[in-house]
Amino acid sequence: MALCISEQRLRLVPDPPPARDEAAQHAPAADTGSDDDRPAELSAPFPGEEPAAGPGDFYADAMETV
Amino acid sequence: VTTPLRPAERAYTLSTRHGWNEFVTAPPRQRPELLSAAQIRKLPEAARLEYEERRSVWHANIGPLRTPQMRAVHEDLDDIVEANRQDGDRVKGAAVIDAYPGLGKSTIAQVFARGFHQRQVSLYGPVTGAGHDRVPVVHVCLTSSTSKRSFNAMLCRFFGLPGHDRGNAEELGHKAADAVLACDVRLCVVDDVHFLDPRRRDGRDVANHFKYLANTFPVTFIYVGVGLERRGLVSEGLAAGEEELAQNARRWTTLGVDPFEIETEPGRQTWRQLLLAIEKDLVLAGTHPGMVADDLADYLFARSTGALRLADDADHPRLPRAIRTGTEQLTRDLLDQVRNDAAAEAARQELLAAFDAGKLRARPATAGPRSAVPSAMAAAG
Repeated sequence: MALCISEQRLRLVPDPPPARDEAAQHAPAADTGSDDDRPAELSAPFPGEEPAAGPGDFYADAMETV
Repeated sequence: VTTPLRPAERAYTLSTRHGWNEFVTAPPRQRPELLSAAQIRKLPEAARLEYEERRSVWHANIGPLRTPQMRAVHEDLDDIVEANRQDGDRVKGAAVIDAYPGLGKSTIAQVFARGFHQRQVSLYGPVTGAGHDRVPVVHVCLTSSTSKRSFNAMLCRFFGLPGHDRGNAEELGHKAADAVLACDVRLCVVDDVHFLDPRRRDGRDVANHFKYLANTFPVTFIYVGVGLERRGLVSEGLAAGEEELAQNARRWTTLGVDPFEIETEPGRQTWRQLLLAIEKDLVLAGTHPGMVADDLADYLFARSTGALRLADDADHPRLPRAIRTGTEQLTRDLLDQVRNDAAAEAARQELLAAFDAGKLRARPATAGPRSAVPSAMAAAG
């Protein structure tokens, strides 16, 4: 019984969101058509985060508008 | 029936409370979509006019940009405002932003005051403890004929007080004082202070009135103007009969705004960061990476002699011409067609000669080779 309850509880608890490192380990490699086979999640910002400027961002050094 | 386009300009005045509130609470503008030259040509006439109107207003309002000069002045202003948090009976220091025209000093003060206003309302709410509207900031612009009475009338007008232009200087001053206290004003920006002439009696009266206000109210004053030290408004060494102003000088902290410089590599990098910000915001079909930041770096520096008010001015009188003429690009040829201001023109010729001779450069070494990328969008058109 205890085991059943335990299993039921386990089923009731939603999966926690994976941590960033964990997500990076388990995410399938995105087909970007490039040589870079890192998973897309590695470079994806967390919600609320500004996406980081990539090396190809010509305007990365531009002053901020206020 | 087509719906008439609503004017996109925000026609507010910062010298009234409602106008100031509009400035403080206005949402960021929506950048018009970038269309290719071919897409623009295919637009129906009304849609094309609307698109050009939107771009015109957008380009006229590029910025302000957080320049190093703005950051430095804001840090000093933060210190002064923070140091002024004594109780109302203590004498308050004031800040003076004193710089040549075209360096964005009014914009620097307004952006600081806007942030201050937003923080105060966020902290304490939109209504004071006594139930009045909270007005953390007052903003007034002096005129060439400002007297003590007219300055008090300006304060009353800012609050929208009935009879804001009736009564003598003292009566108007009392009305303004009541409003300042009731609305929990904490910051007062006084622009165009260079209109005050300390050699004239009314000019001295107003300057002394500032001292009285600073002594009386829990308010930090920010005075903005051109050549205020030279005019004797903030100097200790005053002529006979002007000694009373010396007290202002001891309580006012003067903050300068330097022009951009390209003598050093950090200076050139800053210039490029400024131009990148402008270029990034352009909505021209013929634009390409480096059109401004690389191709026009030398030219724009020479044209403006480093006083390019790109904190709030992207050489934008030229942008409508780029749209009207269909070039959809900013080029040296196009900019040459537009009259420069007289002050910059003489220096421009000298600087251009130095750039052309290779004796001077505005691009940093880290910027790499100049871009030769043609505009894909223009090519598509």
